[in-house]
Amino acid sequence: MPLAALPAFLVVGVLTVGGVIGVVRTSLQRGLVGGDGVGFDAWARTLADPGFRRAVGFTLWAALVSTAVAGVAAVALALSLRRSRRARAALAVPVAAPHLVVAALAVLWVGPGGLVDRLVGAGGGAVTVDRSAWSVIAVYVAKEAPFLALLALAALDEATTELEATAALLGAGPWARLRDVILPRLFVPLGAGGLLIAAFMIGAVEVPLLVGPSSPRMLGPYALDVVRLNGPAARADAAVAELTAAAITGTLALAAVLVGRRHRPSQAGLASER
Amino acid sequence: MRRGRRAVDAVVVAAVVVPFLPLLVQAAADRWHGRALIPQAMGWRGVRLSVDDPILVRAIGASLAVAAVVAVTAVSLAWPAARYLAQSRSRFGGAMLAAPLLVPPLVLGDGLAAWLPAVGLRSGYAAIAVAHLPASIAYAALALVPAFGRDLDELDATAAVLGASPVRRLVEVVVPAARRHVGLALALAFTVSWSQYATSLTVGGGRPMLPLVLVPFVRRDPQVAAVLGLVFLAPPALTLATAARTAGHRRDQGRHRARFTPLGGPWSETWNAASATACSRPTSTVGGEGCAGDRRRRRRRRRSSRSIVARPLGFPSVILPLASPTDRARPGGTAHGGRVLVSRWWRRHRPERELGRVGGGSVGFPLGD
Repeated sequence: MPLAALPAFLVVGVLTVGGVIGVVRTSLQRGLVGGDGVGFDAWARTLADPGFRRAVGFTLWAALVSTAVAGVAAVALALSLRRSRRARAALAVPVAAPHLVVAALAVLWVGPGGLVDRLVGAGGGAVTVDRSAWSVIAVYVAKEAPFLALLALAALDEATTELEATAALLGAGPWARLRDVILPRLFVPLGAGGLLIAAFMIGAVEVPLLVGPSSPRMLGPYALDVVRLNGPAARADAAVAELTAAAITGTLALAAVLVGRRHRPSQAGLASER
Repeated sequence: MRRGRRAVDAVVVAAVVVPFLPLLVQAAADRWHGRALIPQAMGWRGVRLSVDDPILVRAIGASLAVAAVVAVTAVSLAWPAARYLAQSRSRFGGAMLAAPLLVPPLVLGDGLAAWLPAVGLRSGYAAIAVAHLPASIAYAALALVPAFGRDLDELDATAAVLGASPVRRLVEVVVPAARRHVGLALALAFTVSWSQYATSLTVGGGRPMLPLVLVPFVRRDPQVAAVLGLVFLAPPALTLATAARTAGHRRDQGRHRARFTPLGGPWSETWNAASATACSRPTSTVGGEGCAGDRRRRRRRRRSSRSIVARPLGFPSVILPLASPTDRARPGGTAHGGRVLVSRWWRRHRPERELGRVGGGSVGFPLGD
């Protein structure tokens, strides 16, 4: 590696690894952070908390359902828009919008006194009484489906079109082409993109804070609430919740790498494709 | 068929744009009570309140300053890393740079808040900027990697042979040639820092930043929230415009390279056929099929690629054919003529020892070979 490239890797590596180590250290503190004691008290306390267990389940449910729905929507969008450059450009708009703005828009649309409330006189305030995280899921699907669709559109290149034409010549119907040609081509980009957005959702704070229910909480708001309600002494508990989110993300990343390796087409296969 | 496609385009554009309209209406709605479908009074109350509130003004200013510092730092650091990644295709390096995207921002922020004070960075804007760096560097590198293609290497090599020092090559040749990608990387890094909520919250120690002050307004005063939301949307919109420009430029470059590609074989035939069918006014050119519009575009592009190398280095325009890598690939092109002209210019302007070092004492340059 050239010397000039080292600072970037050092800064990213030190800050990222340092951040994780800092949270691990915080989670092992007894009492106030900066005190003497070190132990697993916070871990035992947090893991025994039913609110925390609900938060883990709720976060997993919201992240996995959002990712799955966004993935399906992305495939549908990509297949219907693959020949339209203008529509493709339009898809980039929600991708560029910050999550916070999309969540604020959700409140303007379906919050109390929002547009839906004004238009139909019902459904308004949905985001405040939603206990199934449908508001969070809707915001993430609206925000991430276009992102995944753009990744899918990039994968639907000329080689895919040629493969589709070959499969059609050999007698494959539309469903067979989708199953045997298109979906395998989309597997890796959608898998990687899905992993990124699931990782983001699991640790996210702003969207569940604005449109998520107050109970059960997702992991990010749960960690903030613990400190807000119990004071600085509970920072170790919050760190446990944060590390759980990081562990889930790490597990998902590992799973994605393993699955990706198994499904990676061989060089010979690629050559014969071309 | 075309009408159906236009209808689909219109539906998609509407589906993307319409959800953002309430932000505009709400920002201008001074009074919007009850179940009224349109506001009872429109005005600038939201803007006035935002401008009069010192905390909001400070938050916007701080967010702008932090994001600008982070963007410049991230791109400066990511530039050599992206070059290394583009040349080596190192998977480990790529995974390492992408790691911050997989770590929840709350973890990163809380972890850094635990040890940044120990290295002298107490809660404050400097600490916030440091906490924003990992993700910004990752995105900046992502935007910069495609810049380091064959064309840029050739331009760099050309400038090197013409005697430019490494620093001069970087400042006057490579960075200007990759300016669109640099612009995109700056915009992306700026946007990433601009949108950070969790890291600003945990590391900042209560310092006002735009995302942090926006959240309470969403329920308390939707009009101010809408105004802040529009301010919040401005940099991402700029990023999008930059990205669209970069994508358009890359598409043009791809077409340009393909038509004059020296590869030969079925690929070039396919490209030539594709360009012939895409052309409305076909003409015959030296390199094969082409069209009048293409020729104009090519000339414009060639001029711009010449200026990238030659103008900043102060070389006379007679040597410019050499500066365009595509000319060398063109059958019957200008590589030889360019080489002779360069040699003449070189002999007039360069000391003998440098000529000997670069050209091995001969008048010919190895560039076009």
